[in-house]
Amino acid sequence: MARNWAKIVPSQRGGLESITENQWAHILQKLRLHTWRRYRSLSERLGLDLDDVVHQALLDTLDGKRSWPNEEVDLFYFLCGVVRSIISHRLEREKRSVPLENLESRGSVDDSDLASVEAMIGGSIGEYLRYESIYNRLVYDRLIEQMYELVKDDQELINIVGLWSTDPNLKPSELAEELGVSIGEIRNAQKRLRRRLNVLRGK
Amino acid sequence: MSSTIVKLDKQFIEERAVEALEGLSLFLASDPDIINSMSPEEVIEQLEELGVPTSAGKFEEMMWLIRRHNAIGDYPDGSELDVEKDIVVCMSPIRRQKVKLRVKNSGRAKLRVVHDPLPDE
Repeated sequence: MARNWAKIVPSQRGGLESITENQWAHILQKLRLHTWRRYRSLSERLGLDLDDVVHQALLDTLDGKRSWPNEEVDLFYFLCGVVRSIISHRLEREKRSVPLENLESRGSVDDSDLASVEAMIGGSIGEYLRYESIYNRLVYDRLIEQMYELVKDDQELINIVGLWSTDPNLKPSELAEELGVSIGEIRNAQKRLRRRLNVLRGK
Repeated sequence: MSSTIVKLDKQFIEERAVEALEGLSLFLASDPDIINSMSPEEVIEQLEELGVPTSAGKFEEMMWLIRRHNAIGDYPDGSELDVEKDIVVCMSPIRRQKVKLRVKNSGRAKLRVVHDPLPDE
């Protein structure tokens, strides 16, 4: 039987040596923010500690298990991809290991692959765009109308809602490009939207 | 009866519209491009809003790993691995699995502890 020893390896680094400790600290905090924002609801359902996922992504990168192509991609974006991959594997394993009769009580694990999580992040819009029934079309039209109503005095938010509702897969950088604004302006719009939602939710 | 249906329908649409905007907000707030445009102070502020500890615990462990990694070097002179200093032990913090621990003599330096994963149950 082949032995599978604990992996004890010397450090392997591509461009990692050029990153200072302060830069690392900022990259890691950004990665934690991305991970906590995007996967928090999923982690609660799976009982997953998101800092453990970030820790694993860091370890995999430092030891060369996940090799950072430093000339092709920024380290932060690379680590975001590693986190996504780790969570994806975890979900696959979860699906395989949970007996069918337990799925319901665990809260629809069967549906919790990354695509559906990201669709959830995309809100209800994708749901109504996906199925082209007359009912969905009606709901979709009224939904858009109501969303416009909720942001009616903010032209930038109206533009974002308009673009995003036709294609929920558009990335914020693509939204910015389409609207001819900077990513910073999209971020400010998000802050205004958050404040508005807090009012709507009575927070 | 028809007015009740219309009322429920209106409520349904309003709720879904708020949900969709929540989704849009979360989508934008978690986007790498947007997070990458933030200053360190803004990132810390947002982590604190989420209730994520920013300076202790897991974050410190990660920074320790980086310091250790930076201190070890990459054997540019072609020297051999020094098991007393130059090892990184990679173990998954995500999955718990039963292992068999044992001590192995590498023949050059201190004894080292290794683990064999046991087959999945």
